[in-house]
Amino acid sequence: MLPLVAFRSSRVASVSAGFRIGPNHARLPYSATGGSRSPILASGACGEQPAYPRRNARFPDLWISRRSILASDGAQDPWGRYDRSLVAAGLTDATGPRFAHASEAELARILDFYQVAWRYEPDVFPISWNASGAVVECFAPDFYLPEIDVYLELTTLRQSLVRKKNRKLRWMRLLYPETRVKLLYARDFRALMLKYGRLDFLHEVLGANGQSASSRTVTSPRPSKPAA
Amino acid sequence: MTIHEDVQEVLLTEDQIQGRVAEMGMELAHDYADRQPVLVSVLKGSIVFLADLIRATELPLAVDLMELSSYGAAMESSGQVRILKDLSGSIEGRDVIVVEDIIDTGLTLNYLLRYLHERSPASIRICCLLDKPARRLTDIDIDYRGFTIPDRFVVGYGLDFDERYRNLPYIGVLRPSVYGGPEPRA
Repeated sequence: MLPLVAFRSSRVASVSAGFRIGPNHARLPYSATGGSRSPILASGACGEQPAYPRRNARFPDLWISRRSILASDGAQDPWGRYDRSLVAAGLTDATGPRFAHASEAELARILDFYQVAWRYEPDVFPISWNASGAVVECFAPDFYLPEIDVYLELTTLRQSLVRKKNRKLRWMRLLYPETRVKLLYARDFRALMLKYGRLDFLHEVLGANGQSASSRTVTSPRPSKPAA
Repeated sequence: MTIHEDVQEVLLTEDQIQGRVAEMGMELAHDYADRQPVLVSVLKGSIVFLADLIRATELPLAVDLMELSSYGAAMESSGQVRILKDLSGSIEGRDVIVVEDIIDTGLTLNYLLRYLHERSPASIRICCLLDKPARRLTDIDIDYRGFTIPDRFVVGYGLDFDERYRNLPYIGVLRPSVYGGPEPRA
């Protein structure tokens, strides 16, 4: 089953609080131990959301969900199938997003180059809830490729942060098993740059230990339109 | 100093490659019996594989070649993939076999398949020598696969680094010091 609702977002901070202790003392999201959870989040409020479920009715335009994308009239035929290119075209912004990291902008340029439609951080997936049902931790994959129906998470960070992302990804796969997420590690990005002869860029953004200064002034390519 | 010295490890020997290519040729001949497929290959990496494959495939086949601009090389030009060399003939109504040297991210092939589908072939199948699934970003169904290889940077048998090593008769892992990568841990 698809995640019911996700929302357009910027990168979301996680809050580690309110875990319920599961079997073998594992730290499980509340839902995994039989409690209730909500798939609905207030826009931009993951980790700060006071209660659940609460939909941001004041700003409905901020909401975007795969279900609503797939169900859009123009993209769906009478049999419920949808045209991926129309879906992708509908996702295209007038302006590009602001990337959190230069490597993300580079990946967007590669996708643009090969005319693979993409969307930057369109969805946020709750992955843990406290006892009262409020979302305390989320996962927002960097890219969604609507034509392929896969999320990409690019991590070029320190190993300790990679472990944190790996943990989030494990929960993501457990809670949303039909959602495909691919994690690109620093070595994957390095191989990509090697393949395209962009080692100079790699050294520029990653440095010796793979840790780069985050840049909010990265040139932003537009989410790409699919090939005609 | 020879080009062999830049190779850290031989991943696939010449004999292994030739044996598998012969098998793939027989598979194609069996599957396309009584048909005349067009083998479409992408320059430049696939040329060695294509040359061996067509000689191992006893069919009245045709060959066509394409060349696409690559991301890194085109950074200062259009910003989108360009066709540097298009098909010489029509593939409308023909059985097309796309011959690739290696499929990793699948981005180039994804673009190529869309392009070929627009030319209304009767069918398209994919034949690749090397499959590196760890790097895959797109969904690609490979019909004929030579070898599945680990996530290493390989050269030889048509595959290059900076236009070198294509003439190696085997497929080897390039020494990281050649491209400025980290040496593997002992």
